[in-house]
Amino acid sequence: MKITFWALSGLINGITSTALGLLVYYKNRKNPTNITYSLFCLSVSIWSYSYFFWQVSSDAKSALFWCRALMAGAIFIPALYFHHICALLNIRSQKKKLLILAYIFCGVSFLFNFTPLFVKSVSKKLWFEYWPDAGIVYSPFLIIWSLLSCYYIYTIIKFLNNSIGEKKNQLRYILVGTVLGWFGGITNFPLWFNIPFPPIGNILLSVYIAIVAYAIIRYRLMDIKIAVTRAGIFLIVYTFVLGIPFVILGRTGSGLLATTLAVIFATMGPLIYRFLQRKAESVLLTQQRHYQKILLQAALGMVTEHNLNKLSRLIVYILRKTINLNFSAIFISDKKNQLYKLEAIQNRDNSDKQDININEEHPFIFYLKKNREPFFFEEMPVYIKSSFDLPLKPRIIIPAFAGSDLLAFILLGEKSNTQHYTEEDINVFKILSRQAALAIQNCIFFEESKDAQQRMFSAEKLASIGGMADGVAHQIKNRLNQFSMASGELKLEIEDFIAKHDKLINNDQELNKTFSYLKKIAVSLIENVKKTDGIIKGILDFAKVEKKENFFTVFSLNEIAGLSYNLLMIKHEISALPITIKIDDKDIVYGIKSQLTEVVYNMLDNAYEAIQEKKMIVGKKEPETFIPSIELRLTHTQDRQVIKISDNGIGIKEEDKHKIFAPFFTTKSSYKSGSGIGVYVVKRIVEENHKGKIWFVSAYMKGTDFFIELPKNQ
Amino acid sequence: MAQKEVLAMKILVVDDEVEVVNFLCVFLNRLGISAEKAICGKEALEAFRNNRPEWVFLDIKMPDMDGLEVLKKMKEIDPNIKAMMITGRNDESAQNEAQALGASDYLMKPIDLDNLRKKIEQYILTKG
Repeated sequence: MKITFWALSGLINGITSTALGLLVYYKNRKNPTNITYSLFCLSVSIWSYSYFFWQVSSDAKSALFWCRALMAGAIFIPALYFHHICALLNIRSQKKKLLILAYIFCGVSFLFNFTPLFVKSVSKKLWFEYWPDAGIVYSPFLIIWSLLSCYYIYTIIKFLNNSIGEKKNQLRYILVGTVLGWFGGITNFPLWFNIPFPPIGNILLSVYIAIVAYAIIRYRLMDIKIAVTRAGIFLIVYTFVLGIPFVILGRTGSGLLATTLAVIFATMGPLIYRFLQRKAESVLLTQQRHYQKILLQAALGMVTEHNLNKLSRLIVYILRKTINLNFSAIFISDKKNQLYKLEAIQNRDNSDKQDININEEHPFIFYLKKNREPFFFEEMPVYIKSSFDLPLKPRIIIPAFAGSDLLAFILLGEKSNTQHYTEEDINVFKILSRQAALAIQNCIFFEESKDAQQRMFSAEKLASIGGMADGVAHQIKNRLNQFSMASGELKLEIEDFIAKHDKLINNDQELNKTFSYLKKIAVSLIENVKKTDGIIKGILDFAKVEKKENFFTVFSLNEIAGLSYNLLMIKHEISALPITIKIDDKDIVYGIKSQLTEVVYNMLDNAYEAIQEKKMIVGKKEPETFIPSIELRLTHTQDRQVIKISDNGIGIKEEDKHKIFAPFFTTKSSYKSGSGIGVYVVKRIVEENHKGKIWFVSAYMKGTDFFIELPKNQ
Repeated sequence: MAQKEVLAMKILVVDDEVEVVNFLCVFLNRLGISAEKAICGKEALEAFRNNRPEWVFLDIKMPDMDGLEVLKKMKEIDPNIKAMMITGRNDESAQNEAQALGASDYLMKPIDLDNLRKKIEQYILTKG
């Protein structure tokens, strides 16, 4: 038995096809693409092993037997490969008839293979001892066989032109592999017809099978331009490196020189190869490298952004612009609501951002958490792909993690030049996702600490103001005491004088008028002192909020609203207020009556000020367009009572919202009263004395709704 | 009105604010009550030792000596002394303490003279 290069090519092809056939089959036993590929490998294996045994046959009889065995495998190759291509392109149903015809053709050929009509005999050709001679039906078989092969190559090319992205890259591999294999395979046939051309391409079958296997197993294929360039450079460099010493050896016969050169070249070989590879790739990937560089720079800059929304918009903008995508979007974790929210999106038609949420429990999120790295949408298992019900069709998904916490994920659409994403892109996205996660974390931290600072600030302010209010109030009280007594004394003096000189005064009309006027002034002074004292009392009472559970009663909202209404009319010197009162169920409020009266009074007072202020702005221009209204509404739930005070007044500016409950904060124009203590007092009454909640919804120039929620008597 | 029927009654008025003391004295005189002034704790105790008034109107908050302390010392000298404390609204604990020390009543600042007159009528004038 003499093992020649030709025998070896058969053995190598056999082993390659068996190994890859099994590998691809076990990668996915249910996928028709994989199954058909494995069957194709099976037929190649039968051919190749028989090829090996035929080449090592020592007599004509066994050579003929192995030739027929070889053909038994070869006959089915085009039909099975065609079947595989149909599965890969998902066109099996369209090509069903053709597939059946192809198999019938194979079956008939297979039957002929048992007769001498197919393989007639074996004879010596070139340096082959037993090369087969073609039978009568062999030529028509070969023609149909070749036509079928041409047809599937044509089919691949057709699909290649219509596909985009990764699919296109994959089909390029398939095409290159198929054409290589085909050319390799047909070098076997000239000798059958006594054309003296050796089967030098047979070994290419292994390359063919390997390329196709690579293309269907791996989704992330190397850019074929790069692959071909690398292979080309490798071949050229090593042909020279290893070839030159041989040539030198042949020319000079100097073994020493040849060996020395071989050692030098072998050392330099990899360096030259890598140098040329880098040069070639920097030319081939100029555009890609360019945007990758921009992305990395942008990623580094992200951390300087402190506003989450701005950062999100920045990320999607940079991604879409630099890679030239049809869309890019970012979803950010909303822990409170246990979902991921579409925070920013950029697409070609600049359509508005929709509210898109994905629940934390969605299988897609689980997949992201498991996978952790950027990946292709197509790589996801079918059940997740089909459960992905967003109106966006992403090609790449980039998760951003902080530890085990999935903070966000980015969706990338199609590259607009229909280019595919490369492994290098994915690597850039990995870095980008880490930077994005850092930046997002940074933003979250920044916003949280800002909140905390604000809270600390207002707490501190409250404490200091509380202390200050106490001192100030005390001072005012002392002055007020003097006022009180002076005015009391004045009144008494006047009264005494009138009592003593009643005749004199009663007889003189002018004197009478003067004295009654003086007395009126004194009384008014006393009244004013009392009122002022009431205000001070308010400040001091709320500077030291006391517990007053004992005073909780049930009363009517209508009643305290009426009281407030009257007070407001007096305060603002008006005859009516545009207030409507709505009681949804029972007119019952449970709480501390005096305090809730104060609450309602303050809230209505603010509402009135708000509509007055809006009147000043809007009303001057078009007084008829603004109809002021204030609504007081009471609703009951199982264990709560909610008082809602709404107005359509000036509203609260965004920048003032956080200050609303701070003491001494006022937006009221100074000519009207406005101590800035009202809402603060209300808040403390509601929260501290009633264990309730107060909040508001407001829009500047539109109005404000205050909500006061109080627990019911349990 | 009542200033003609002058009572054999002396009231010591103690407050660190001169105007307040003056007003109170004028007011008491108007009611026919003789009043003596003091504007600090030390002065009050001195006047108390010298003149032995039946009543003392005593401001709780004073710079040199707390009104409560003054009352305590006066009670040591004369346990029968009757006291009307003058107080701000918010020191409830001081009011309680004053009561414990034996003060008869208290006046809220700002003092309302009408109210004070009622109290005086209730405690002093009716007693005769």
